[in-house]
Amino acid sequence: MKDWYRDFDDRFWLLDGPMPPEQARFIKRALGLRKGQRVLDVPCGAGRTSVALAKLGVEVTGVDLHSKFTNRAERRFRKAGLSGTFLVGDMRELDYDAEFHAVVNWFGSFGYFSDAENLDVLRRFARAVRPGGRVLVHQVNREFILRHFLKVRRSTLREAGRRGSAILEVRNRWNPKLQRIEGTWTLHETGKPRSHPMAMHLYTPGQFRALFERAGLSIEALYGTWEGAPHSRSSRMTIAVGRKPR
Amino acid sequence: MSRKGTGWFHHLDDRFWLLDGPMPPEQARFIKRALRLRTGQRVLDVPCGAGRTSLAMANLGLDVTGVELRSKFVNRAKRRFRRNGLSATFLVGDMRELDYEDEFHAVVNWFGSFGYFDDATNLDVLRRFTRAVRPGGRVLIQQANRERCLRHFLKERRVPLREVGRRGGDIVMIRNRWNPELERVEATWTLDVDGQRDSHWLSMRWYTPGQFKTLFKRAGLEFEALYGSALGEPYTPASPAIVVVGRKPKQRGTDR
Repeated sequence: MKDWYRDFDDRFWLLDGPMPPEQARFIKRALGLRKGQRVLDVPCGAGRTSVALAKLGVEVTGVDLHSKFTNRAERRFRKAGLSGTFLVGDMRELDYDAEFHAVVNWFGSFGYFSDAENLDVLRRFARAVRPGGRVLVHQVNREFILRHFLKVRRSTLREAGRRGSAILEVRNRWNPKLQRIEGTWTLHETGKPRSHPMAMHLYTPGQFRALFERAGLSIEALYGTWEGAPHSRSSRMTIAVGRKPR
Repeated sequence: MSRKGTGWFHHLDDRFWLLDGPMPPEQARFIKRALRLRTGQRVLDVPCGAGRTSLAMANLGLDVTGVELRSKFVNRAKRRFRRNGLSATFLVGDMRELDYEDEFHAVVNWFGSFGYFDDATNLDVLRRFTRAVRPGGRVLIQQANRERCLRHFLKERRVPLREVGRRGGDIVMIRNRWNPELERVEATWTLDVDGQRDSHWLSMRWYTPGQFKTLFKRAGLEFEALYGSALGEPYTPASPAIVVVGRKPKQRGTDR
């Protein structure tokens, strides 16, 4: 289970199709970004969010664990005539100091590690932004998920937002002690089905608030949708935006 | 730790790969000239290391794509370009897996980065270089000059890293052995830092000018020019380096 994110199938990581511009506009607005300002997209995957932000005139640096994905992001930017900086790296080893106007951690890419490491990652995000800068973290909304807990879900990859028509079976278990969702993602295609474990700590809004505070950020806003509607218990997701004190 | 074997380049110390300081502009101008490149044309620098050659070429207005096995070096290259306000494309990849077709005006393989693999794989790498350039495009390879090195073969050398072009004053002990059967130089580079010994093994196929000519031909390149230094001086058996330039024919063969 440890280090599951190293062996997770590539197709699970990447959302299909470009990011809708209204999502990018929401991110830019929520982070108070102006044209030409610098944003760190981590983990950036193949640059889906990065491209959408760059098209709005934001200067993007992306960091991702998988060189295959940073390569794709590089090519994607090249093809689109955009410039950005994509680096291979582990978010637990980020070492920026007051370089960015904002950090964006989009699409359920937080909570992969132990509690201490998750806090440390958030501290690194806080350290990476300048005083007055902002950090955005996106997760599925724990309160919604636990109320409508689906133990087994079968769909095509495409129906789950990914690319491809293989059948994806997700089996979930809530670990109340660790407050983690522990899942097994199984791909059914030709040949033997392949299973991939995953585990994520999910935070309530109150826990996010406490976590952000411990990382030196004050929660500025909580949103509940991709486009920035206010957060409620029935929101599908939680988007927490924190600000580093001036 | 010394690891002998075919994957030695995965284990060689970072400090041995990278030359210290920027590439002198006259070397980059030579490369651009030898490859007949014009401003804005696309060049593939492989392996690009931390972008030393790439940066010098980009400064001359070339559109650079760099490919390198080590993501650490690719990261450095990107930061270097960023700092210099230049843009380029850097990818993590193995030169044995290059898969470009007719995309570049030229391929540059600079500073002893050819001959790491077995003979069949080395040829395959060169074929991939050929495939990556457009018809009429060029491929450049630079290596130590085998004829000179073998004539003045140094079995053992103890020098500060600085003296072999790398960064730092740490002493490196270089032991060379020529393997006549495989025509490879096999070396051990040992760093002695505060009494801690750290040995690295490496092995490279060296080619005579005639062997390069044959190799280029087999890879589908016309042998165009031979130089003897990083500045493009004429080749002689006493030259410090060998720089080979080949050209992909303008017209594709009709034999397929």
